Amino acid sequence: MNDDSDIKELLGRALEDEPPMRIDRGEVFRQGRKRLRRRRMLEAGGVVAGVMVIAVGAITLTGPRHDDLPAADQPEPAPTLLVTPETTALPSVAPPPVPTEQQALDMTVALTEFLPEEMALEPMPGSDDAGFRATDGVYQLAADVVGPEAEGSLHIAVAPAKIDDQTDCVVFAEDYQECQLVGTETEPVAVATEEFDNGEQRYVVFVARSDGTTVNAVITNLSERQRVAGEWPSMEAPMLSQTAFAQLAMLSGLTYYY
Amino acid sequence: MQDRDAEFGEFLDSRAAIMRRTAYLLCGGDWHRAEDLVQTTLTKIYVAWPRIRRDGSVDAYSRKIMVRAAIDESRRAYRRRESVVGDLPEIPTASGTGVEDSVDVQRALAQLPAGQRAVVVLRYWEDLSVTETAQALGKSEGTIKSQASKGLAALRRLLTDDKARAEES
Repeated sequence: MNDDSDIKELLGRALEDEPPMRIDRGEVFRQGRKRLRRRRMLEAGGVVAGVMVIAVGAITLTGPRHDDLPAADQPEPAPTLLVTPETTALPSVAPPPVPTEQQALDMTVALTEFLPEEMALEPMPGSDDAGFRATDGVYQLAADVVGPEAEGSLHIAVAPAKIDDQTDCVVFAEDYQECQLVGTETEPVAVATEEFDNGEQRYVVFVARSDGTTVNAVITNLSERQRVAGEWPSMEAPMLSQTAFAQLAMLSGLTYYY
Repeated sequence: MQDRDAEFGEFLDSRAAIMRRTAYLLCGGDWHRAEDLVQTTLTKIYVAWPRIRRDGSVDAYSRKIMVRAAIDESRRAYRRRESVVGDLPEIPTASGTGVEDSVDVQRALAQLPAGQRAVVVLRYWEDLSVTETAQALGKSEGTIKSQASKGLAALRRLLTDDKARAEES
C-alpha cells in the first residue's frame, strides 16, 4: 500500500466475507408508505413545511391566541414560522402584565445558564439579536444554536396561559409524527417530533404551566444559517434531547408572571 | 403509487447490495448495522422518490442520508460503548490469508473516527471527488482534504502495526 490507488483494493478486502442479503424489501415499502401517509396528512392539513418554514401547529410562537387584538396590533410572525392559530381563545381572568425588556434579558440569562456550555446562541441571518424579545403579550426568542459539531435553531415563546390552555398532545393535531407527555403527572410537558425529507428533525414542546405560563418551543437540527446557505443538517437529531427540551420548557426562569 | 413502487423497487433491487457494501465500510465492519442503515436510508428515499428522481439526485441523496446516519449512529454507539467498557473490543489479529487481511482492514477501519472513515469511504470507495464528498458531508473542501489525508495515514499506520504484531507473534 504505497499510494492512494491501492486504497480501493484495500477497502474491498474488508468485504471478502460478504453474507447473503437480508434486507427486508417488504418492510422498506411498508415503512416508506407509512412515512408517506404521514407526509400527506401534513400537507392535507394545510401545514406545509417549506424550505423557510417551521410548522408549529395550533399553538404559535408569535403571540398565540391574541384573537382579541385588532389585526394591526397583532405581532408580526417570525419569518421562519408558519402559524396556524385555530382555537377560539377565552379571555384570561385578568389582563397579563406587559412584557418588559428587563424580564426578556433575565429569560435570556436563564436560558443560557440552562444550555450546555458548548451550545452558544447566535443571531439568525438578518438579525442582530439572539436573545428574548418583549413583544405584544409574549416573550419570544428566535436564534441559531451552535456547538462544536452541530448547529440548529431554537424558537421559544413564553406567554400568559389562557383559561382553556392545557398540556396535551391534541395541540399538535396530526401534523407531528410522534407526541408524548413527559415530566410529572401534575406538570406534564407535551413533546412532539417531526422529520423532513432533507434530514431536518424538529422537537416541539408545549406546556401550560401551573404558574400561569405557557411555553411553546421548537428546536431543530438545521440552523437558519444552514437553511439560507442550502446546507443539510450536520446531525441527525436536534442538539438537545427531548427530555432536556422538556426541562427547558419548565425552567423557572421562563416564567411570564414575575 | 404504482409507478412510484415500480420505479423505486427497481432502484432498490439494483442498488441495495451496493449500498450495503458502502454502509458496511461506513459502519467500520458490521453487516447487521449496515443492513439497518440501508433499510432506513431506503425508506427515506421512498418518501422523497418523485422529487429526487426528477432532480436526478437519487444517488447523491442516498449517500447523504446514509453517511450522515452512519456518523450519527457511530457517535451514539461510541458513547454507549464508552459508558460500558473503556476500550474497543480486541479482535484477533493475524496476516497472511484473505480472511485475515479482511479482518485487519475491518479492524483498522473501525478504529478511525466516524467522520474520517466516511471521508475515506466516499473518496476512495465511492470514488467521489473532493467537491462531491464535501457536499455529501456538508463540510468544506479543505476539511475533506485534511480528513482524507489523516484517514489514509491512520489506516496505513494501523495496518502496519497489525502486521508488525502478527510477525512478532
